Amino acid sequence: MIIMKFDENFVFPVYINEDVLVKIKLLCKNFQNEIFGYLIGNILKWDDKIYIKIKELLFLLGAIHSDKYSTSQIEGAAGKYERKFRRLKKRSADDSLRVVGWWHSHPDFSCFLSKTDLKTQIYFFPESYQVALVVDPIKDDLQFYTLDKNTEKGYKEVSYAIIDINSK
Amino acid sequence: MISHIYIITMDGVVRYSKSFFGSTYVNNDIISFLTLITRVSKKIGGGNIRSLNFENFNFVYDYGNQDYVFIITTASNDPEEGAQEKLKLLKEEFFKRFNKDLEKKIDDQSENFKEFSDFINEKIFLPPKILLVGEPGVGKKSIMDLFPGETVLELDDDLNEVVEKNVKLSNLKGISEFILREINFQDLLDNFSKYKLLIDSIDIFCMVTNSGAGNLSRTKHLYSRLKERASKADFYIIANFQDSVNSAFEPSKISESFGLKTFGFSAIQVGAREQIDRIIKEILETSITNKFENQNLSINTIKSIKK
Repeated sequence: MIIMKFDENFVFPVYINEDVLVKIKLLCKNFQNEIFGYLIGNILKWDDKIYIKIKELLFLLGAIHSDKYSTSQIEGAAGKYERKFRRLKKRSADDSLRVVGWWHSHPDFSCFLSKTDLKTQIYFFPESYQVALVVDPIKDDLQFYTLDKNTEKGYKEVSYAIIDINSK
Repeated sequence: MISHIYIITMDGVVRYSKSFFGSTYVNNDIISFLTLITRVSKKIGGGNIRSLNFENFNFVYDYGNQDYVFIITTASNDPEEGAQEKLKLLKEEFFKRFNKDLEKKIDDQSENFKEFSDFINEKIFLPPKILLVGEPGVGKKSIMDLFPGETVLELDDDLNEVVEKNVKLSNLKGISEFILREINFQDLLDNFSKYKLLIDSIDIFCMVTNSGAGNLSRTKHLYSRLKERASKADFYIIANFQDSVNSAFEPSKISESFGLKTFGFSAIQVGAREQIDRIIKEILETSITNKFENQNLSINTIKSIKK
């Protein structure tokens, strides 16, 4: 039997509620086309490290994500998303809710950020804590990314923890 | 594929741990890391962890009661649902056997404890799966026949018939058996949706070729299609028919063309049994044992970076 000592403070950059992830995966599965939406949550700090907790998602029917459009049509949909976000904030009575990133699907072409995705991330989600969640519903794969100027690709994968908020 | 099992208390006491691949010692750093993460995440995440997801592997969690956490390590391409089912089974069996003793120290020398390990080996452990793929006549069946044991026609999860053999191994650290299957390459890709679950479950694809130009060209084309479908599995080539000196390309040339580790082989030559044994062991060592050993390193790297 081994007794451990706890003397470190480790925090994941991303925590996501399981029900949010399940909803996103289901949406991606139900749409043959690429779709996208916002990730809503809190920006928090633990031992001087910034991390995000994703608590909600936003999705608009008809919000298509495709390389045909230079920035995933977020620009066109942004007004609608903003209104939806304001309503969500009001409903949840949580003033600290922020747009912490976006999610979109890559049906059967694996998880990565395309040039369009990267452009979208740079224009609309440039903060270090803001993430892009890519879901491939056919290959049953998903991955979180953030910008990283130090890499050749300009972005990097980030590790994440899935939390069951109902089991407090 | 499940590589490790941990049953720990929220206070950081290890009640049970098992490593299926690689070294079997309990890595205190990993236990410490997992326990700490569990506690910190509960505080800052606002709920219990369901899984921690890294680039190449995941930790999947279940909670027995307020005090116990059940964790298994899986490869990142393993479906989480399968891991959750195994965890449920593990948890139920643990409490069934040890519920009365939870207040006391569990004697890991006891018969009950040994039986629990037997249960885990039988019900929780998933042996690595190797799929031999190739065109008809390249020697898949001959390679299967070189391994001792019965070849059986199994039904996979989609009720497709798959030829398979459960092969016992000796002299390989941490891996005592693996499952060997074989299938026609073209059939596999032409019926991708039918074989999706089979493809997802495979850890290692061994493409068998007769080392001739025509077959190599077709195999390369099929490989480019399969690679997209099984992006997280490892691929190797077994260049069979190396005895056909006039028509067989050398393994080094094939390796260069495919960009994959290639093993020269001849199923009909004396010593073929020993040779294929060595090949499979090297493949398992590279793709399974070393990979899971590296997980330990990754955890330590993550810790040092985040400190």
